[in-house]
Amino acid sequence: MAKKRLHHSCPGILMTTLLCFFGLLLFFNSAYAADPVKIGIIGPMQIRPGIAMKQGAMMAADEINAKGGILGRKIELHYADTEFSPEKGITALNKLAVKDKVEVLIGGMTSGIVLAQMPYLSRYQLPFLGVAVASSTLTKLVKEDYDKNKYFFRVGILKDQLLAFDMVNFIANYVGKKYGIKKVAILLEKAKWTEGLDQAFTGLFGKFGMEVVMAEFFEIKTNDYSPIFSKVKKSGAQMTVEVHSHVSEVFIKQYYDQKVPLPVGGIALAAQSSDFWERSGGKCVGEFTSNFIYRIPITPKTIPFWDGYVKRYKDDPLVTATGTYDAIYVYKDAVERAGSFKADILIPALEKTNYVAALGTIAFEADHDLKYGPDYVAINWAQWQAPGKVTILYPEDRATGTVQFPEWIKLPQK
Amino acid sequence: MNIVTRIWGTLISRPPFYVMAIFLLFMLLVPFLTDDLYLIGVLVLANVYAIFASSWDILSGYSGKENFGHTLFIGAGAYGAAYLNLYLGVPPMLNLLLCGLIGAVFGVLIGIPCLPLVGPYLALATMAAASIAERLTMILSKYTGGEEGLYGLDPITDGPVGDYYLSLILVIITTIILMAIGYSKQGLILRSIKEDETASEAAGINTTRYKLVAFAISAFFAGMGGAFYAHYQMYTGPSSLSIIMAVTIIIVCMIGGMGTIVGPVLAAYMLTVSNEFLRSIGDLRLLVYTGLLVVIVLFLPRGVFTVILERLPRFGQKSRGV
Amino acid sequence: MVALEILIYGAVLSGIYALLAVGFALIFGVARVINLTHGAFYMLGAYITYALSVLLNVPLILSIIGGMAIVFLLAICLDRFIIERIRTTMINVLITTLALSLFADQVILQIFGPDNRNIPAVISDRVTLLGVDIAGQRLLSLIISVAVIATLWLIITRTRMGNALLATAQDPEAAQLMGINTGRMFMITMGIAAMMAALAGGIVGSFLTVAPEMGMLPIIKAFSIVILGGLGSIGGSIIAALLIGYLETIVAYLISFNATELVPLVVIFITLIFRPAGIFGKRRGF
Repeated sequence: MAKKRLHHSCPGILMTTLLCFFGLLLFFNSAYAADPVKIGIIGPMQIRPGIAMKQGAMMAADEINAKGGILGRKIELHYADTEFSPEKGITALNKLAVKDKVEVLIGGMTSGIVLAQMPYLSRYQLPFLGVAVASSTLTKLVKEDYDKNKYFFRVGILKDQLLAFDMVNFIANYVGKKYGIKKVAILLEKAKWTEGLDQAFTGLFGKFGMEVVMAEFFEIKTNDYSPIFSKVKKSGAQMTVEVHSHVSEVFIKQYYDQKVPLPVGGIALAAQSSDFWERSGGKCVGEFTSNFIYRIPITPKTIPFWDGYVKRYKDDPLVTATGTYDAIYVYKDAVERAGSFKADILIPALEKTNYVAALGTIAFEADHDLKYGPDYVAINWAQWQAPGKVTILYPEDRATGTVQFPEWIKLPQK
Repeated sequence: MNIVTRIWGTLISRPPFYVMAIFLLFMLLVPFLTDDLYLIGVLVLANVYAIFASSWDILSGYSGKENFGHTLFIGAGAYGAAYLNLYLGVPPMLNLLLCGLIGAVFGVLIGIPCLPLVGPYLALATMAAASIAERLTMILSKYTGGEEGLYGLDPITDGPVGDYYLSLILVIITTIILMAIGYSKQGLILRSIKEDETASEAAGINTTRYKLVAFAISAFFAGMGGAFYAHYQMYTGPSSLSIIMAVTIIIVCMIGGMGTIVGPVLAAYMLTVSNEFLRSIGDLRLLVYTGLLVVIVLFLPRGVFTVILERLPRFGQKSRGV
Repeated sequence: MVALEILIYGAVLSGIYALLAVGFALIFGVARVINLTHGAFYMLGAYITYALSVLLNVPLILSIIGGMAIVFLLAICLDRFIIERIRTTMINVLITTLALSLFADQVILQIFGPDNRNIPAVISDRVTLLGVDIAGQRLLSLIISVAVIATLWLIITRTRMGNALLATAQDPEAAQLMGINTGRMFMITMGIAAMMAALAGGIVGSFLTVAPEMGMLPIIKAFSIVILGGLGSIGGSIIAALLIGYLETIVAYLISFNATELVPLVVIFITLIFRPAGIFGKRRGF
């Protein structure tokens, strides 16, 4: 009973705790300056493609700010990390929209995360220029429910079906024709954007007179590919086609280690970075890779962008860097034509975009998808060659060298 | 009149009760104190974690049966809500109840085989059960959306403030029920199991029954919380089943003080808000956050709030239990 | 042909699992501690080896040894300053060590960034064994695992220190009375186990990859293997490692590549329910 009195200080402790809590709440209520135009960069900021987004964005913002900004307003960049998870992606989007009060979102990777974010775009009336999202579902949603989903535009890369088409075209018309390859094995990562691609590939390769003898999905975090490679070896395939947008060092290292005697290549985002040779211990030798830009004059802006980026960051631009850089310019172009930052006026202007960017000429289809073709945006195909350089092969007018296979690769007898 | 005085008497005589009441009343006022919708969003997340943590506590904190797979019940609720809403058009509000029941069914299904297990064996078995569910969402990606989950669920209210109040009401309901259970015979027996299970059995208590009931209750609220979370985010994915999330919940409970319900609830707010607050230091956020966790776990293993609660006065109470 | 591939790849996989699991089992057997920083030691071993060999151009073998030495010291500090305080409560040990390994992930992330790294192989040639193509380094990892575990076995069964370890494992109090410094035994065990994890990290870098979160999956696997083998039983964990390693390989080759992770989990769950003491455990650890 007497004990009660001994603890007079304890309500004090509780009050202090509550006060600290109040304090934290107040911290959130800071004032915002209204002057600059706030652009939200959203992506997996802790990993390389996200860092590249940030770098591309900073470069574009600095260039534009040096020339007076957009309609006189300086760009202020805000970043939010999706931590590569749809759940955190929603939190990140909320942060940009509500806390930072950005006027446009640029970035996005991968499709599954952006799909989870889609419903929030109409809630906040925020245009979203998607940089590293390939799923055709996204633009299908724009078509199906325009009023709700019109905020999304695909800027940085082509949609999955076009990626697939372009890759099949390269393999069939270049590698296939040259070396008599008729049968391929396709290995795809399990993700939203690869969903149904196995079927699409079978059809596409069929059209080019080739045959898919094996198509298999593997999980993104696979640690041991030996069983799948052993199956490839036995499948009768003459080439391995890979499709993944996550880390692919383990894949290519083990492919080399297991001496799979077939040419390998396809869509592999990690293989695009300039230090992939070093990160894979040189085991990516002979791998076919692709990128939307290399240091070649695709448009008059390509080489200046490439050189500026390399000078500034001592690194080649990843596809996400180019996409984010161009997306900011596309936004600027549309705002200037619309004369407004308001989403409802801006979106019709964005739809009429025809802008010569580093990537190519950017224009949109009716469903807000990026236009594809030599006059718009196309893909360049290349190969990793010893001692760690990328040789461009296709389209042939842009080629910087010829194919070289390591000696254990067995090609079909012609 | 009599009942009102009794409730009032109970309320002020027990620190956990009145601390919780004051705190939740304060939380009811938050939307009047701020119009920062982002903060409100953060607090919705805190509410969700408060439900997850307190529902873990009623089973594991009380009985000492540490469940490392609490996310199985959360995920069951979240995926259940997604399927019921997307395919059968079940409204979100009804889903809260239905998915709580789905959770409870999973609780019993997992509870029965896990009952005899203790310590690391139970930890691993529950962890394995949740991981099996997580793997299945990957393998059956055609139906579960795989890594990227299911999206397009109906929102549960029409805006952040609505979400906030609904989630807060769920927290209030959950804590009232869980604390009532905690102070009832059920809670007492669970505590006795923690102290000495064999002795409880020797005293003629059917511990199995009580443990199973605890599993079901714990899973019910976890499933309900999972369903709310799914509708709130309009999305659900495998991260709702991940081991990291299960561990986060345990850390919340540990920091708050296991077996108190109040502690884990308060810790859920403290950790969610401070985690968000740390965003201002940018890249170092997770480094500082995990560092803080280590320090708290190491130096206050019984929890931050237990220490405070134990020293608060009991008002208007006769010398019961002294 | 498939049978031979399963035989060889299964052995390699089991070897790495065993290297991790035996250390884990040793810590539990002697110190009664479930140490979830074990995965972080594996990750740190890989990063230190990477930093020494690639960034500072130290010869590879020395780098691996350097990694083991640094991790050994870290583990001893961990035991001395942290585990010692909380040894008696299982849940505290579990959560503290887990929180610590999350912290270690973040430290590494800040220092080295999120990119995957590569450690060159000690043996960079590929070999063909019984008609199966395999990286020399993978085969080497198997040989090293077998050698290290055999050495450990000899130390435990043949030396004075080993006897002291065994005595501590059986009954710490009695051992203390017999004049064995059990605190030192706990520390040594922790150091040896951590060194084995660091070694595993250093040698897998050339055929897996080096990334901050690389320790998470192996630790869950080691935990499972040790429970399956009977907590604290070293022989049991070797057999359980073989079991899980081969099970995964067989499932991957013969059933479905994507069910690789699932089947062992189901086996673990079922084993726990029907035989909580593990396959070879004579008694429950708790």
